[in-house]
Amino acid sequence: MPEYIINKEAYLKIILHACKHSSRTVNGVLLAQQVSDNDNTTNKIIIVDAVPLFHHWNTLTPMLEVGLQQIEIYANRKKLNVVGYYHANERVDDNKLPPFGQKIVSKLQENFNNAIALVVQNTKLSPENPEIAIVPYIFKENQWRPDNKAFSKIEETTSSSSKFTLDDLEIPKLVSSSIRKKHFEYLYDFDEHLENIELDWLNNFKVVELAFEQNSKSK
Amino acid sequence: MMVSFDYKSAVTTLHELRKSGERKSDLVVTLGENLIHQGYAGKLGDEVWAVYEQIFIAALDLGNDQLAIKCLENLDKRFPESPRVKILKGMKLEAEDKLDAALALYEDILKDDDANIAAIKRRIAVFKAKGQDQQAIEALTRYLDAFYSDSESWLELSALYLNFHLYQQAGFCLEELILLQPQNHFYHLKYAEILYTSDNITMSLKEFCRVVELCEDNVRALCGIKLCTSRLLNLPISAITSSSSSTNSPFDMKTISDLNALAVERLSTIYSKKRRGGSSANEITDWLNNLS
Repeated sequence: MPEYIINKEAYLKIILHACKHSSRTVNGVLLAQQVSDNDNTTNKIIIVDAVPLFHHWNTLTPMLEVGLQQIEIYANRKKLNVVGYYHANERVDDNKLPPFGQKIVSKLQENFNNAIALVVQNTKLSPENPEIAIVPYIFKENQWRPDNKAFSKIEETTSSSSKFTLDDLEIPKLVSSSIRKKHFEYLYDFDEHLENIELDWLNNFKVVELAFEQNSKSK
Repeated sequence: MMVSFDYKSAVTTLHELRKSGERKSDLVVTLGENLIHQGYAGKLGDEVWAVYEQIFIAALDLGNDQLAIKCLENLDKRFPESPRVKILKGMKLEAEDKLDAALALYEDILKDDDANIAAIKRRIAVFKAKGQDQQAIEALTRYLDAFYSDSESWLELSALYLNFHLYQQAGFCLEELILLQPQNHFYHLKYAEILYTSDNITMSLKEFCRVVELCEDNVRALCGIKLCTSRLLNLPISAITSSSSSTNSPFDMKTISDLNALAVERLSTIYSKKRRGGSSANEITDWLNNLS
């Protein structure tokens, strides 16, 4: 099984998207660096970015089709692959990947064998004690199953299970301070872009700049 | 004090937010704390009670217990037996995750007055919070039987149906909303998207067109028109003619291809006018060219 590394930009955008629309279901997709064919042996999937899609509703297909088509074009241009889906539920205690989310990630699987889904664990976003607040879902035994211990099993690196790591262990803390500074106001999803096309939902440069440059200065 | 607090504009802002129903809890709490702590509450006259209620709800939203308790105490002192204050107590229970206690309290209010709208709605909200969407749907349907013209509730019901992928039922809610407010483009938009999802492409196209009619250059609807027409143009001819004869399709092939061209033209113009949206303009150009 491959090893997944989640970069801070991706983690930041997922969490800020969930925080911006805290009383709604939000979702989006994950992008990873394209691996050249002779690199395949390393089997590392580096998730470098996330693109936020919706907060209005998430079980209707037309704008999902439009959004995914545009993301595909964007990803190709940046030499990236769409490798997964992320989802945060409306209810705080709901950590499950709903059927429609499973459908989307199954669709992505057709193009990318090792596609995964990340579901936000809203309860782990407490400002006092920030933890890794995402759970990966992997397709195993014909079903999408959560890997609840994904980020904790450092020792048992059996080759049969997937490994998940963050590229920087400080991210949950950084993101927590970014939430406190309300950086999520500058994160825009496809829903918002369709209402005002000047909002840059694909890159979301501004929010990355705010979250990481300020933090590196204050260090 | 660094910034002087503008009492008048704070009161106006709070008033406007109450009227529009926007959920800007952090703004309300900031303004509310200033109002209360700097002793302006007494100046408000009878408006103070509505303001307390507003600040209370916002404070619950942000988990600001101290402020919430302060507002609730004042309201409780003034209106000890009021069902409206009782609702607020129920909301406090909800915020503390005591959902069953809140439910009991709302049902208690409804025993005395089964048309208490706030209690009916909070009860439905508790069902949703407990993850009991089925019960929420039942209660909401019963409520809408009596209060047919409550558009907010129709929208909520449609969202609940969508959670269960009941597209036909969700579509029905939108039809009711369109009957209530035919000029509201948002309802046509959501209806169009529901129709598309249930594979009713020609009807969906018609609704997307209606959106553009009501709201010129609506990007979401133009994307929808582009999507629908591309799909219809790519169908084998036999599929078009058979489906159009059975559903009385308002479109012939010429119209569909004209609409397709029109959507592409409008979207290109809109995106070329506003290039500041980062590189998104390039993606849309490619998208428009690829999908035909």
